[in-house]
Amino acid sequence: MSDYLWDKTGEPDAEVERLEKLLGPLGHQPRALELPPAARVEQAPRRLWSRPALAAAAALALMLLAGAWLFASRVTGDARRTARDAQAPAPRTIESARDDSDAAAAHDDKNNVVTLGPKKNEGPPERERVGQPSRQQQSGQSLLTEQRRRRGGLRARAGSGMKGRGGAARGARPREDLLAAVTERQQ
Amino acid sequence: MLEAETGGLLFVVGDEDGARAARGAEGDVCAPEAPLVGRVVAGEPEAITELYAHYAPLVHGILLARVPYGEVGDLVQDVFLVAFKKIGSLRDRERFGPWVAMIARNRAVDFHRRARVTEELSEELAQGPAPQRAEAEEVLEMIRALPEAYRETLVLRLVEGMTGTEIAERTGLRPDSVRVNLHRGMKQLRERLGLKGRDV
Repeated sequence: MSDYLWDKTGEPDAEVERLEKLLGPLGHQPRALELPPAARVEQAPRRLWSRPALAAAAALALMLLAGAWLFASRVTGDARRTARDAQAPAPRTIESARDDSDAAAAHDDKNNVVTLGPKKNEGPPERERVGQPSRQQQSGQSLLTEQRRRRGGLRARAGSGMKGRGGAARGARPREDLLAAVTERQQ
Repeated sequence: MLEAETGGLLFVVGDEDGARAARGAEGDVCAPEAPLVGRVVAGEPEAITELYAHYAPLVHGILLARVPYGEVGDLVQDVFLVAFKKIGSLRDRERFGPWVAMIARNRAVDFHRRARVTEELSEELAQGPAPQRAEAEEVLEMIRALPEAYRETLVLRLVEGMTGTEIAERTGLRPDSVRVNLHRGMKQLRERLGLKGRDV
């Protein structure tokens, strides 16, 4: 498509031609370029960081920051856990219970049960070991033990005339019972 | 975006988005002047003369669309002096045209920024220009009143005598953009001149 305004081809546009003739003298008139003798091409500023290097450095810095953050969060987590553990009440042991208790502690070697007396102005005594018989159970147990002792004493009396029939073989008689049986026999 | 600072001027050159948005999409068309630019950078100042011969009409037209006619000659020299000094900062050597055009636009802005309190009247100005020159400057003033994209293209076409293809090649604009700017600018100029010319 010919277009005089675009590339001066085709049918000339009279008004465009007139404007060209009118304005043409204002156009560039060839004139030598005058460069000062001292003019020189300035060197482009040297770039210390190219874009890929900058991107790599930024990625590395991000990784380092993330690593530092993870490390710091782990350390603070451990510290918090330790602090929480330190603040929590320590599990009570026999010794600590002894220290805490103002009452006298009764120790039963047979059942290996520690019963603590009531503290001053405090509620009922604590029972420390889980699964051990309660105080009531223990008192019942003591009664049973007392009854057994008595029975043993009666047997000892009854068996004093049956010496060597296995009374000594039982061997579990309390010493008091034996002493009582011997005394009776002497009498 | 390429930037170069010279004496308080900020030259934004290259395929920057801002200039693209302001002047329309810049195209792929670009004169292959890379060897000449390479020679200048390598230390052959004579090569700038060849670049000057090729691009002086472009710079002259760009300046004429913005500053008074009497100032344009010296400003063209200034623009090429700056281009010669800063040519090392030109990344894409094939885009010398758009680069030097941007230097010229910024130089025109700088010219208007520096307010001149006094201005010596030349003999021609004192006596008044010839009638034909007066009419030409009047038309030129009308073109300068048009939007920037139109006035620059029209001056390059009507004053400097460049074709649309040459304008596109040297400014880096897309040919389609140049064609649209030419026709719309011409239409507006006709309206202002009161001409009944063909509506292209």
